[in-house]
Amino acid sequence: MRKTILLISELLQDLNRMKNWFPDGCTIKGINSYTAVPNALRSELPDVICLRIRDPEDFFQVYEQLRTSVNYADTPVIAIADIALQTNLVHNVALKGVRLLGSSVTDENMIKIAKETLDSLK
Amino acid sequence: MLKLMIVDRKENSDIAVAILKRRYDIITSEGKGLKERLLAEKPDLLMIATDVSDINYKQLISDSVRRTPGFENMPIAFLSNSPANPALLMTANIFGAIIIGRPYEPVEFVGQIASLAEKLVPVKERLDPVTGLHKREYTEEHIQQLFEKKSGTLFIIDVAKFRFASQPISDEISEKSAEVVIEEGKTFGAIIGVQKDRKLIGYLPGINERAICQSWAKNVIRKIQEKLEGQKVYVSIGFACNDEKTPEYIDLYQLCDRALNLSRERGSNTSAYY
Repeated sequence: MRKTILLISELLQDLNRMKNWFPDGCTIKGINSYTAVPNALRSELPDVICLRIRDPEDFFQVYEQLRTSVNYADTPVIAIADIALQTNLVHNVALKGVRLLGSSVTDENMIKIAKETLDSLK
Repeated sequence: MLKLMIVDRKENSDIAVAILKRRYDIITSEGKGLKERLLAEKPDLLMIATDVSDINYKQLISDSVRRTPGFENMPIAFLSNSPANPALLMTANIFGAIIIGRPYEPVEFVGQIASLAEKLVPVKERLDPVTGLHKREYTEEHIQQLFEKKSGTLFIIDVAKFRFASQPISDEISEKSAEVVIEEGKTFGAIIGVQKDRKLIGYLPGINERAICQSWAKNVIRKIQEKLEGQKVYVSIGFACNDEKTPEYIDLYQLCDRALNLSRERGSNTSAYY
């Protein structure tokens, strides 16, 4: 069954890079605004969410929407943040079901992580 | 909106702010000048890091928070990477603080703060806008914590423009009288608040002697008159000793109210002690 991936980033170049991490058989949906997330969750029913964190406040809002929703309580999230923010998040926050990576991660590694994440889905 | 103050290293508090910002008005501090920030910002809840080397949380709480008028009973949450540490649990118990473990799980963290916030009445609503003192009900909450010890004296101070007619006093008289009582109460670690009718209510912890109270009253009356610089006022003070004859707080209050009436009957600028 085709898996749907929801990509979230304010920048088009991020979305273009992120979509290459997932295999061809996936349905990729990209949005460039965090305010569009609730609608996207309702209409796209994503199996995996992949996002670029620039503003932690926006990220926490999305995280909370996901983890307090029955439908998305366990949905895997792949999050990429700048190194300083990633370090701060790792130190201060325990995120459930979120694979948090630094922005220096290579495309090769991201392809592996995307595959592992898709394989982990039941 | 409730106002929270986070005392932590900037990079740590940035994350807590990002999680809580939509729900609360948040101010941050790294510990320096905490007392001044408290007085200026009047937060409703304090969250303080307990395992940051440059923040001496015990000293900050005992020196800057608990001894600052209006913040003696302020709810405190400890932020800690070792929330089960027995020494921390003991300290939390002493300061009446709750412990929030780090790293924060955002949904859980929001819930912890929400359950604390549910119990809070914003500081601004607890304080009398003229004198800056706690209103009667919040002052009494504090007094009742000491009531069981049966050692201390409740007082009510009435500063009136007329000896027998009841008429509200001006904000200036109310404010200046409160300033005197706060200053004079410091020696005894007095708890002081203000009633709706602008009478000052307070408690002298550990003081059970008539002579000490009467001498204190004389001093307070004299200084209020000096501070009001020739404005004619009548100061009456009622005292009631917290001992076996006052099994409940209400008994103590009623006795003190009777002492106040007796003081008024005796003449102007005097006190009575039960």
